[in-house]
Amino acid sequence: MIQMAERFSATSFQQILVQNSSEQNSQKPIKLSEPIGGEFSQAVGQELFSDIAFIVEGKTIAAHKIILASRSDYYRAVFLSGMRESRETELIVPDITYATFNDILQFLYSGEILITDETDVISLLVAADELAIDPLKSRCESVISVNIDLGNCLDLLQFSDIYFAHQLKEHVIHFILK
Amino acid sequence: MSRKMILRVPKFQEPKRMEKSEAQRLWLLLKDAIVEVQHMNASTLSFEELYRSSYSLVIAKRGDILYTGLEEVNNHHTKNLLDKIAQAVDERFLIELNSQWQQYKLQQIMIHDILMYLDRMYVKEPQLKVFDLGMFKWKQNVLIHSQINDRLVRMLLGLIHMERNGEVIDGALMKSLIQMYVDVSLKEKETYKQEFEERFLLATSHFYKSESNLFITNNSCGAYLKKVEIRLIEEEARIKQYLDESTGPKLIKACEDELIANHMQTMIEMETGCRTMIQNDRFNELKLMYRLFQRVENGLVHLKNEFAGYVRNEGHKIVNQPENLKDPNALITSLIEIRNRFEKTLSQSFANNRDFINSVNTAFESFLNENDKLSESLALFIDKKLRGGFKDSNDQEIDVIMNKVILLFRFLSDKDVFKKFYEHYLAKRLLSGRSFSEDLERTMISKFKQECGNQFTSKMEGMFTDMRLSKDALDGFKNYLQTSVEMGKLPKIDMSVRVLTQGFWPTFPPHSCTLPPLLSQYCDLFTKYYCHAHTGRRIIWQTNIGTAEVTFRLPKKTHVLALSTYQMLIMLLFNDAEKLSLKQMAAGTSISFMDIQRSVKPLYSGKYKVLKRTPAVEKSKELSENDIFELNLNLKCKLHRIKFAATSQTDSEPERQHTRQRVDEDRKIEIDAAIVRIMKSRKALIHNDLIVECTKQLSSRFVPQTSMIKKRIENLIEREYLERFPDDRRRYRYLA
Repeated sequence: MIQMAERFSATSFQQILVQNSSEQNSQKPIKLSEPIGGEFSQAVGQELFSDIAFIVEGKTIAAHKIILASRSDYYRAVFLSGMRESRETELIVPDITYATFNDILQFLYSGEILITDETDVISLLVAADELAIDPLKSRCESVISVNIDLGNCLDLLQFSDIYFAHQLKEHVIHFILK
Repeated sequence: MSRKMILRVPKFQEPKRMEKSEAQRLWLLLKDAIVEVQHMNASTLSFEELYRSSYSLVIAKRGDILYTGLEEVNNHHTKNLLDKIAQAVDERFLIELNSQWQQYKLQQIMIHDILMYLDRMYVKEPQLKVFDLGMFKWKQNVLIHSQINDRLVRMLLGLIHMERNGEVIDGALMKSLIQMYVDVSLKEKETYKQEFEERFLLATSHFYKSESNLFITNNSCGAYLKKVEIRLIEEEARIKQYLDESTGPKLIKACEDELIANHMQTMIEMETGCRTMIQNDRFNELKLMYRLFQRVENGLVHLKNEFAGYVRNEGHKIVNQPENLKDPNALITSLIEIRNRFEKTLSQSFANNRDFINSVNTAFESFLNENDKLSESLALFIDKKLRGGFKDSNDQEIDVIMNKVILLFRFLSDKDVFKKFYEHYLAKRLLSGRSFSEDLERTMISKFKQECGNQFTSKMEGMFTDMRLSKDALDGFKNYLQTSVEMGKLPKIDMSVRVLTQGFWPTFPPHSCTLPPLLSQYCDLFTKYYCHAHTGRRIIWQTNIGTAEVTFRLPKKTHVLALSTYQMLIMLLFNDAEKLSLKQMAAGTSISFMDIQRSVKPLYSGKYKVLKRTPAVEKSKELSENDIFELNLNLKCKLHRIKFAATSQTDSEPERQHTRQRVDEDRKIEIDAAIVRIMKSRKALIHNDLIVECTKQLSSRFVPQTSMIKKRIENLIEREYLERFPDDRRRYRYLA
């Protein structure tokens, strides 16, 4: 559908563990690798081997720390911080809808995302931004960019500014100037 | 692609303005958490709460509060740490510093994680990233503080010094502390280089300077080399164990400079040094020396020159040793021996380095051409081998010897002289039937051919062809004799003739003699037969190099004497006379007196005396014309066949002179040809250029003397091949 603006270099799980145990000063952000295929996307919500559960809008989603930590800097920090969350088995996710959070997990597990008319792209972008999932944020920006119109352009301008959506902001400004 | 979708964009009619008090509350929350982290009390904190707090501040464009606040907190914390660390005494200092540092790093990672959103969205160049800010504060307030830096470096260097002296130190601690300098460097490891590496390298140079000076004066060179190798291995290990890898090349360079470069001259010259090692074939020590010298600039040049100098010197001794000058066999054998020895040194110690091989070859070239004996000695050496010297060697050994001969041959500058001698001895071998194996002869020649091309060996191959054709001609002659009419009248003689093509063979000094009628009849018959078969050819009989067998009938016994043609003629004279003076012999055979002398000598002075001198004069060796000989009828010999050497194996001085003269003659022709070739293509040339060009063209065969080239130029001018320019006497013009 829409081409990803960037390609992301592969980072294997093993490397990340090594970085965390010995090279603790390595602060390179983990980037999502190429799509890792359908097998893992089936694992979203799978209770088999699950070691963490998210509670979103009162509903529980089973997940796997090892996948999340290896695919997201944010979750790596959550699980390895040594703070409270690293000992929890359930984490409450506030301010995000179940659908949006499910999309986030889908993307983290598979590296792919299917955005449909039902998808709340705006919320997805906000969540991706907060959880530091840049490739997903970038996908959202691209989708929004082709849907700019006279009715939403001003709102989008303000929106993109607040959430540091630079790519979208450029498109909006371009649209307005035209 | 351009599918429209409904976007639910939140309306920010009144942008979410964060109250100042709210911002302050969030910051205080974060600040408390950071302080907790710095006191290692992070476990009760909520990561997500803190993350979201920092996120909210940044989204509300209040990142500045957070960043400046963080800077202050870090500043404060590191200053506190400084006091704590600086108070530690002695060894506690390093341990305290290290444990604080390890904790501090962990804290900075946590702080970074909490403030990840700030780091990603707010921090812009030239601001430092959150983690780097932490590192910078540590460096500024702790590491390079006057109470820490100097003390730390001194202690680290002290520990390294101890380790170099054989004590055991805590490698992990070293690594952590040294790595700290790298970690706090913002770019290009600048802090590490400035504060630690520079001083470390200086201390290293200092340490090895004094150690090496002391060690080399008290130990042998071999021991020193081993010590150096061990030191270098230790330093390599040190790099891996606790230094930053970027220091590796610099450290090794510093060690090599002090341990090797500064002592090269000593290692070569000292009593147990390089010279002694070469002399005594200490291959392993030399190999080590080679390996170490290779590491420093120009190291191998020193070693190579020393080795080449030794080779030249040894070679010089061999070619000038009086015994060797007399005995060509001994000379060549010792040359092959030292060649083998140096080849062994080259392969075992010097990794067959091209430069080394070349310089050894240059050395060989220079001493082998020191005197002009070598060409002949080499030819004689091969002669002896091919006359049967190879009898007890197998194919492989023979090949090795032949290759060595070729190797020495390659170094000769006067290859033409060698060629003449070789041809001379080859001719002798063939004609006297003394060659041990035709196969070996041909192998040897093919090796020369490979080396110098067809032209070099064409005459030698011609000799072999002649030998084969002679056999055919002789078979034909024998058939002819049986059918010939004249044959019936003549007594039978087994005659064997070899037809030599003039030009292929060395020219033998012409001698004449009178053959007995019977023999000359046979000769005439052969001439008739041969000239009939090959019209247009002329035959000249070279009786002086022939052989003959004569039956010697004594009262009780009959012997067969194997003689030279001249000796035969002399003996035949005794059919008609009891006693003959040398003068009479000469008259009866028309052989020159000198040849008579030479021929008679083996007959009366050898082991079996068929002639005796009357009156018997033992002492006087000089023969005079009037000395009288008679047959020795009391000859006692168990053998039926008695062989007499015609001449001694090695040539007499006149013959050698003759060979040299012929070389000179040939050279004149070669030089003439070269000059004409050059002038023909260049038309006009200055004298010096002509000399240079001419020398170059001839260098593969011999090195012409300038004076000789000058003479040839003069000669060519006389013969009107060239002329001088009237206005410039130094220039020549070619006259077509």
